[in-house]
Amino acid sequence: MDLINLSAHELNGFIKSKEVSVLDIAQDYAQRIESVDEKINAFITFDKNVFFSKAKEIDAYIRSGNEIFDFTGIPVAIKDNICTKGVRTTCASRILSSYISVYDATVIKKLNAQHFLMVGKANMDEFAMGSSNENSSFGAVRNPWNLDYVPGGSSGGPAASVAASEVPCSLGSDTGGSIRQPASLCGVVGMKPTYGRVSRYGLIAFASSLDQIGPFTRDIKDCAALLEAISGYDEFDSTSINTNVPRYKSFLNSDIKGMKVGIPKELMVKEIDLQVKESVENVLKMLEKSGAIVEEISLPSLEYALSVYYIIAPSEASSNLSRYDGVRYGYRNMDARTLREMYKKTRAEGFGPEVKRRIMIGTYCLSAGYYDAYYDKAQKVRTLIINDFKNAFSTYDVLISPTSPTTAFKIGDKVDDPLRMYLSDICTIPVNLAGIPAISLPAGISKTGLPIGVQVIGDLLREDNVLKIASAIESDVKWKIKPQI
Amino acid sequence: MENKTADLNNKYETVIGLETHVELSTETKMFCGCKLSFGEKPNTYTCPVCLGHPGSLPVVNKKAIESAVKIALALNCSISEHSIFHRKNYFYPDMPKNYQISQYDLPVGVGGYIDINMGNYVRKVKITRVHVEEDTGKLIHIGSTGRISEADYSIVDFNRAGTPLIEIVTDPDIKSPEEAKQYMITLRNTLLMLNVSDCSMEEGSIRSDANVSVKLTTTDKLGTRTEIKNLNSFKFLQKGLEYEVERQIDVLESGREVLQQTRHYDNKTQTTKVLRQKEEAHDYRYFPDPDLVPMKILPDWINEIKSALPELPGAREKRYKNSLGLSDYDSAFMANDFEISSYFEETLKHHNNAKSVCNWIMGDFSAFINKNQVTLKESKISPENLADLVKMIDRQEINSKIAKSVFEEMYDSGESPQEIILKKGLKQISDTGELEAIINEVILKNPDAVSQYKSGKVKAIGFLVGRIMAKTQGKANPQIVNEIIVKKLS
Amino acid sequence: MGNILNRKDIVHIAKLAELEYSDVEIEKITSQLDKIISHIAKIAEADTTDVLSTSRVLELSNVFRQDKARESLSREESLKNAPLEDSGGFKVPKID
Ligand SMILES: [Mg+2]
Ligand SMILES: [Zn+2]
Repeated sequence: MDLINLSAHELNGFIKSKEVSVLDIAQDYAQRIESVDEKINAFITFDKNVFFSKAKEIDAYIRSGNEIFDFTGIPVAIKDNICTKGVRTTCASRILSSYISVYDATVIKKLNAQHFLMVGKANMDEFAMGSSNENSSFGAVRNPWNLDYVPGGSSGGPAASVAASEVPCSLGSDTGGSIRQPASLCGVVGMKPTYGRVSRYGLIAFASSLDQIGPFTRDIKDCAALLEAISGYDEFDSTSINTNVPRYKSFLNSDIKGMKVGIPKELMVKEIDLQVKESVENVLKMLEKSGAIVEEISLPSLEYALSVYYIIAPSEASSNLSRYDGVRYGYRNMDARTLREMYKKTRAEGFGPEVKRRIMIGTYCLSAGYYDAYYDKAQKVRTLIINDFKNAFSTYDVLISPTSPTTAFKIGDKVDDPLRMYLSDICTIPVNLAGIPAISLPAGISKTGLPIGVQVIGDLLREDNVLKIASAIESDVKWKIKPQI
Repeated sequence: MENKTADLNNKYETVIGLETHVELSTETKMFCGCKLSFGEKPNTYTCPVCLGHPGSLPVVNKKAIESAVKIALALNCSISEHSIFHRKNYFYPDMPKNYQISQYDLPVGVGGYIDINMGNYVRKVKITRVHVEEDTGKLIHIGSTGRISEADYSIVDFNRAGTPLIEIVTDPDIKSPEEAKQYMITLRNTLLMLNVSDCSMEEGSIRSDANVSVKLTTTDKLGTRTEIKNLNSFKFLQKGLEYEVERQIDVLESGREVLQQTRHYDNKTQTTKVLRQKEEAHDYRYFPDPDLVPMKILPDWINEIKSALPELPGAREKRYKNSLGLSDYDSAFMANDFEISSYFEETLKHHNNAKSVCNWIMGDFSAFINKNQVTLKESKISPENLADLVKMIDRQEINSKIAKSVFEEMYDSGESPQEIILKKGLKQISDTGELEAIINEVILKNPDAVSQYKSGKVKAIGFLVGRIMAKTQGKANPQIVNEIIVKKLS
Repeated sequence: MGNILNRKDIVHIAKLAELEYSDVEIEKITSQLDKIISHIAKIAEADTTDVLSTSRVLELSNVFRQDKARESLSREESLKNAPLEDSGGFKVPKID
């Protein structure tokens, strides 16, 4: 059986029917990782022995007649900014390169309760800052569809590992598009839930008011299941929402007749590739055919979204990343003779250039005399953006846009122009600012053989609408091509 | 010399504002479930949150907020309906995250006051704000002297990191070092009555920094102020401020300018020294902490807390005066010190004669305690035993002389007055039969005194009573003795 | 573009952030940051009269924990990632 090309729910069926053991699954995936990851570099930490012994443990659990949940024995890769007790958690940074977390993130606890099979820690842009996964101190991740191209970022490892069949699913994090953009560039499904739907406890903070953990999967059904598994209130996260988690799986294959779809013209930006535009338009035609009402709308404040994001995210980051000082954990410059020298050298050597750039931007925006003009102003404009979305959702069930204005770009293409790099998140960033849920799923493939993604955005806590529409799109696109590695 | 000082004191006015940090005595820390500890091995009460580990998040301790509201109410503040936490960013090794979660422009309480009784006048000190924050860890400086400047290196203990702190800031309303000291005493007693902190000076649970400036009496323009740190006892507070006021006056008198500085009080030399200049002042980059949500402290909640507030010193003083009939001085003495007041209240529960109890506490008891340099609480005399002693005196079961010796014994042994009286056979003889026999004997043996009395020297009776008291080792009830003698000799 | 930030600003910000740039790096970072800040400064144009600042997207308030103790980490766990340890504490160089 070709286990590595099955989805999580298919594997779950075989585990339940006892046709395959978890160790069988582990062996096939380990073999796949060993054969392709040298090229992809999706993993920072993968320990085959730990992987196999965990698989055997789960087999023993199953043999004892215990309940088999959706993710019992299912291999899941974990982005390396999610804390895993006793396992190295690096954030792809030199400053945490030898850090062993002393506790499990809440999402890990939730998946452990289902006896999931953790595969390893997936590569990413350092501290989740980047859109190409070139900012990793463990090396760039390559796009499985074309190894000269970036997989997107910052969750490049989680996206590429699913695209390259190294795992059926993975967890990433999304602050300004870090799940959706790489999902789009790698041709997989990736979802950012409502802010507060999934606990951030144990997610190494980049920008606290924007960060959210979410799933990468091969199909919408797995996405709904994985979202369901990790969602819910957590007393360790004051910003987590205390409402019941809907049965997300139940919204698939719904009738979308009469659902209202808005197309924000501000997200059909001028930088958009023609092929990307065509694919999104095809999706819209299909939705209309299925009975949805599609209309163009305007959210004027989105014009400022990129600026707002590049004030708020670095500001929060500058504070969140002050704790990396060489005192309690992580890298330290050992030659420094005084404390201040140690701070400066540790941080100058421990952080990469993009992380330092953002710390500098954030420090500037919060500093005396500039707070009102930058940080506070950005928070006000953020309110305008939220209001624009509220307005839109008073009429529309979902909004649709390209996920990324372009398909994957070449490695090295934008490294020296941060501002150009920042523009690749232009369609995803507004969603984080408003805290609303959105998914990216495959919408087509370019002439050069690179995937194109479409983004479906819902109102706060309306993951149901997002999944309904996404499921309808998926059934129409019926896209089964896989990258050849 | 004296005249010159007096002249200068008239020429200048002192302006002081205090910023006090109080550690709450909750069970757990401000943002995590670690227990509060004191004097434990370093880093034994820590977790990912209070060590600032990657990915950890704070969650607010509800009891700490309630304590903050209590304090704010006791200091007559208004409670902010909408209150949030900010991050105060600066790097220091005792700060696990290199930012402190604190409050900035939306603190729990604002705009209050507290009355400071200075004996011959009352000073109203306005409270600018009462806010909640987290404490830092502790640094231990390793080197020959243990001082930071001479240390080879330092080690950090995070047991204290994250302890809930309340910061109480006054307006610049305090006019002298003595007032500053009295403010601290009053504040501490108020906090002790609220039962929100142990307010231990030695353990640093209450510590103050002061902003001090002097200005010419003839102008309204405030002088340049300095901030004084390390004023961690009532004595240091007064001494440090006295030194600093004098220093500033000297600077001005010599025609120079006071510089805006942060200074450190050094108890060894009883002087203040420069810590840092204004130019080095921090840029804290305050912004609302995105990991926490706002607090809505609504009337219902405030009323619930208000209804559970204990009686505070001011109200207590009034009650002592009006309901218990104590003098102004006695009322203030009994109400304004938490320990004395608690002792007094407890004693009254067992014997309801406020005036007698008050006299004993202020008289003999205070004298003993001052002599031995202990506190009421540390003494072996329980309020119940003191109540019993005073009760016996009031019922004339013992006379004041015996009472004194019983008290001494109680003070030494901690035994009850009943036990001591029984053991030593000190019970008063009020039995007239028994007394009459002794009186007859004394009359017979002292004919001179008897005849003096009969010839009109009334004083002679004192001599006879004295003989009787001596014979009974003071146990005779003097009043009854008097009555019998008078009857017998008339 | 730019000229919002100069070299002196960069040195000041780096000091606040406890970062350090070499003379060569500082030229590059100054021009990069100047470009970025000049770009984001365009939010000044947005009309935010009577608009409140958002720092959270959710209408949550009063999220508290009860004052009940949880188990702390063992001292070994607390110190296990320490770059330098001394007498059960985290060792830091001379404080300047
Ligand atoms: Mg403070
Ligand atoms: Zn803790």
